[in-house]
Amino acid sequence: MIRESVTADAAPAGVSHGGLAAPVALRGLWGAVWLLVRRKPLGAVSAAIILGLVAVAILAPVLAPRDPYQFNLNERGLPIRMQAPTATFPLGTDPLGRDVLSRIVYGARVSLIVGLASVIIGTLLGTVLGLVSGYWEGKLDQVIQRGVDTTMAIPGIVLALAVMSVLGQSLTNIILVIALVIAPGASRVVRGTVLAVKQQTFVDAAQALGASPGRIVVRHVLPNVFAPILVIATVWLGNAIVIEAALSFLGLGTPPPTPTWGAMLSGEGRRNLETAPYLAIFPGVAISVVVLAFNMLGDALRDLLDPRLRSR
Amino acid sequence: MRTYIARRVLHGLLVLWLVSLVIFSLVRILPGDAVIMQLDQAAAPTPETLTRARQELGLERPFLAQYRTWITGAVQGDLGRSLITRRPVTQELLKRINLTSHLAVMSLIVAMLIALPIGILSAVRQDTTSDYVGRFFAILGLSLPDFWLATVVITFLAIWVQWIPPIGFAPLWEDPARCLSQLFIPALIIGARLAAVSMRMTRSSLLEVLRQDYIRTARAKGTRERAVIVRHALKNAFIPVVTVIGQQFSVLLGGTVIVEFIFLQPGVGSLMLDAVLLRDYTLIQGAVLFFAVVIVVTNLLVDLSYAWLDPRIRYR
Amino acid sequence: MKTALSSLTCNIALIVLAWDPTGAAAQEKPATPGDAPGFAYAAPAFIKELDTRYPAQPPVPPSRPRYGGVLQFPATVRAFDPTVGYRPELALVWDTLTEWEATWYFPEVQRTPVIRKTLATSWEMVNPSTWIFKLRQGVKFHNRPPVNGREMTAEDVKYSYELLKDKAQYSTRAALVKAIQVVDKYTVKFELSMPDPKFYLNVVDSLSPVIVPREAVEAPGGLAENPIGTGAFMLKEFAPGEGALLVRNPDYYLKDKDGRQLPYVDAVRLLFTKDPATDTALFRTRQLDVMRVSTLDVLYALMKTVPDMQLYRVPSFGWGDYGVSMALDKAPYSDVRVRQALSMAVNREVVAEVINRGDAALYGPFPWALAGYTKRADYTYASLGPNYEYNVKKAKELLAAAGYPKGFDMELEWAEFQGWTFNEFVQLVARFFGDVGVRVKLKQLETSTWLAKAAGVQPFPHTLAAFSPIGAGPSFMDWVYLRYHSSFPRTINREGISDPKLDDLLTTWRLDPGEKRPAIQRAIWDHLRKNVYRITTIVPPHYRITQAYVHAGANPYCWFPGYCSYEAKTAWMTEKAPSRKFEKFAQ
Repeated sequence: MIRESVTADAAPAGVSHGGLAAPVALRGLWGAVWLLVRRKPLGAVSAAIILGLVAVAILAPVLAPRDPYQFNLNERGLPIRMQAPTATFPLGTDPLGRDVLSRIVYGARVSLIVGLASVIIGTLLGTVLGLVSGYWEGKLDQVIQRGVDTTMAIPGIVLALAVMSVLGQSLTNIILVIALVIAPGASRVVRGTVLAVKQQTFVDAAQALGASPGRIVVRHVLPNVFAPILVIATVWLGNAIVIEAALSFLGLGTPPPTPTWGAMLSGEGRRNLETAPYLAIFPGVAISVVVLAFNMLGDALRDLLDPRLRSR
Repeated sequence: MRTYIARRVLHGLLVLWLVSLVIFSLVRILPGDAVIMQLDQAAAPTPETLTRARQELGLERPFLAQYRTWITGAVQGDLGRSLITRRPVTQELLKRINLTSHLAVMSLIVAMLIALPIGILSAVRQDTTSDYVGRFFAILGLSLPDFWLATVVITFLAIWVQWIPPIGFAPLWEDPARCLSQLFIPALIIGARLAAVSMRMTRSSLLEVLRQDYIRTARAKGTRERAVIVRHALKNAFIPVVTVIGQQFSVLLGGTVIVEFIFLQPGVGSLMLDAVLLRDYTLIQGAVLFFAVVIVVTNLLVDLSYAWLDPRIRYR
Repeated sequence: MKTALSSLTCNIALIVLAWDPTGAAAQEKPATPGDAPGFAYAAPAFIKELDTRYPAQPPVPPSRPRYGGVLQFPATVRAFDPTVGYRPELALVWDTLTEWEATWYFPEVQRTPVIRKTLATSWEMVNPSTWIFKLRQGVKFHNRPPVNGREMTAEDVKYSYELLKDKAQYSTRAALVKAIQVVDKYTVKFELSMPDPKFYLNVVDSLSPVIVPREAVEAPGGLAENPIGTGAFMLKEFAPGEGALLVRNPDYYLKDKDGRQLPYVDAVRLLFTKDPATDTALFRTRQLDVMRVSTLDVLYALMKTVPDMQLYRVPSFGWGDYGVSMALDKAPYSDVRVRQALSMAVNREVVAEVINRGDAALYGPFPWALAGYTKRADYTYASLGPNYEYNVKKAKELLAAAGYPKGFDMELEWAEFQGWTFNEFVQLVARFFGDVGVRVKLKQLETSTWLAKAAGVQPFPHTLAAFSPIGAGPSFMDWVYLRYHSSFPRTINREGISDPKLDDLLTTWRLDPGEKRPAIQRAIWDHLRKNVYRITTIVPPHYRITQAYVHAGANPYCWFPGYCSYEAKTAWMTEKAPSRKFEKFAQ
């Protein structure tokens, strides 16, 4: 469930040994946007959705009609539990009487944070490891690679359970766990790219000219690594949100009362699937749309950045 | 070539050893232990009886002694006995592997039936409507969390059709009808995800192959487009697809825990989940080691196939 | 370095963006009071309907019990081996000397718990430290090698006690027994380590040693591979993680009131389900015959699709309650005023509403029935006293008096556990405590970690949301004596309560031969409800549902997954039951 996308998407035979052609010449940001819209409309739509997500996340206090933590009470002072969508509560209320719409809006924040943080940390960690491993090779490479292999060989669920049991359950630890899952795969891809780049003569030339390793890495290696990493990152952003939902299902997710789509889907959504299906439908749709958008964006980016895959 | 293989095998063994060490230590850090999990909710045990129970399970011995006993057995194929059921771990694993392999194969077939046609179509008609529609539906399979899909399916199947897959596994050769009816819905759910991943792979790989010079030559020669694709492109496009499928298969063998959980299919994934929840150390260790072996062997085979295909790699 | 920096930025971003202090940041529009609750169903009306449609007594079965059929229900068995642990499902295979006729006595119907004589037919107290039990004659172990159906005798009882007395499951009960003597083939004498005028209650149900045959224990593989006992069923197939198949023991000794041999069903198939959604789906498709439902919502959903199901809805004796344990050995929980304040801060009506749509009873320091309250009408605030009434003002005063005018910080630990909705409970409790100034940090644990803490094996720093420590049957010893007397370790007396006055009361209770016990029990109740050693709130009723073709009798054991096993002995199925095979498990 967790490992699939890394190995499949990140290592289509072309990219891991390649990505060698120079990145698309970007005439500034607007040039890139126009390119995206014209060439890859599906990607453009996805990008729009994601921008919308970010906007919702930032503007949550303005957009949400109520406090997502407040138990709305009826005239007897009891929480208005599981009310179907009406005018007052457009998406209904949850079992504690909280407004689902507000929770979905605020949930965008947490989902985005979980996705961004875990992917940033994971890919950064993976990139650093892959760079070090690939560039210097030798013993260091061996040690790192065996470590990576070991981490990848241990099932994600066991890792997650171990981390949560020992360090406790919190948003930070979830991010840590997901980052730990992303990093090994990312490091493999980066290492592969670095190794391939090193074969190129311009690297030898640079070394002969006396360029320092740091300069070579930054100037020559990183730009080629950038493209595959970006593709991995966009796809993993979607995956991270799904993983968070799966962790909630296993009882290891973001602890309440923080609203997250994953917890809403796997918790009260699943428990009340028949009596109150809207509790599951709305977070489910939200997750699906966002993951879909990230995946399509990843596709579009890969198509754009790898010239061999461009249309005729 | 032989040194290459030898080196890779050695690496694999090293990784397996590291995994054994890590998992052995990891489970002993988790709070709680198998003794408590075996007791009735109403039980009122004293600490002495709990300690004695732990001693009987061998959990009070020093860490290294426990590890040595286990690893020497494991190397010879004896993974110890489950702390909970007292049955040999290897026996438990083999039973579960039976179901998981059935499920993996069926999911694979489902995935291929979906992914290959869509992937080929998408690549051949890149950036047209068919491409978008195909990709959209394939990626849909990736977007819905599989446990959620499983819950929805099992709930609404029961309500609308008054049927759910039968409980109690029977292998294909014993009772094909029951086996198929049991597994086809979980296979559909798991396969949908797998299809999405494979479809993309197929598409991008085929696209890359279609750019190659020899394809241009074939077209220039006047061969019909369909023949170009079938006779020249597909064969070469499939190499990376097959690799990816191989890797996905190892992931599948790892078990798709949550789907098994919901459909009550006793596969390796749910074995591991149960074992972790019950703190059944030997079972967890055995299951994780099994996964590790599968992954290491698959990676080895993949690397070897790359080396065979691309001579440059061998001589690094 | 980069990673650390981005972590830090992420953490700051997290704190800024993800944490939203209650009400402060969001625009607040107050809930319109006149909103007609558009619930999925109107709960109070549904509860009334349940009261009328399913009265206290189960319906009279249409005919005499019919033999045949395969009973299926959900269970969780880890190992069919009573030497390593215990689950109620093991009662299908192994018997104790006596057992409860029903796990709880339903108020207004039955006042005194009835003990069913299984392996022991009578008992006699020679003096409070010496007891003689007479065994049933002609009881045979299962007819399988290596035991081959030989008769059970007093030697087996002695052997079983000595084998199992040190095992964690049975040790506390068995600790009372200093020595066992075999007087003759069917008579056993117990010498107790301290006097107990009601020792006969000690040997009832699963917390006392089950009777096992020596040959099976000593055979290779032990009881796990030779699961032989005297029980109503014989284990035919055990598939760990999947289920088990048990077939009728043709030599079972128990007979029903018409003298016909029990059990009625041919076989029992246990399904080890893990997920409530699977359970409901299986019930709907008639693959589960009898099971327990945990909430009203699930019950409602099932009723809509299985309209002919039968329901036995009884107020719970005490299993399934929602409460909060506190670390009593440290401040602020060591101060009784703080505990009382916390208890007063909780609005139990709201808790009942949220947990089970209002279909729940108040719950005090231990089961009502054990304090002498035998009518449901007695389960009121009046019987509990002011500490259990919702009173925010008084709570704040108490906290101030105890030295916490500005409240204090609390870490409330909890976990998901099947059958309980602790998720909603703790959020509610956190809100209530917050209203009196106690700032609660919710800490979710992984289920097994939480179980270890609830079992008293691991400590918890502040508070733990958990059910009250339970007993196996309606036994004051299990529910109260063991849990509150200071002589017991933390694994038994889970809160570590050490109260000299309470100890006195409890010891007086234990030594009393019987007449004064009800009064002492009530006195203990009064003492405990004043001291609030645990914060208890409500307990939902038990919903045991059966298919239309199953008659499980008035023996409502099915209060938790697996406890339906006791029902299997007396359940029978009509000819409308789906026909099922029982050659092997997977059929």
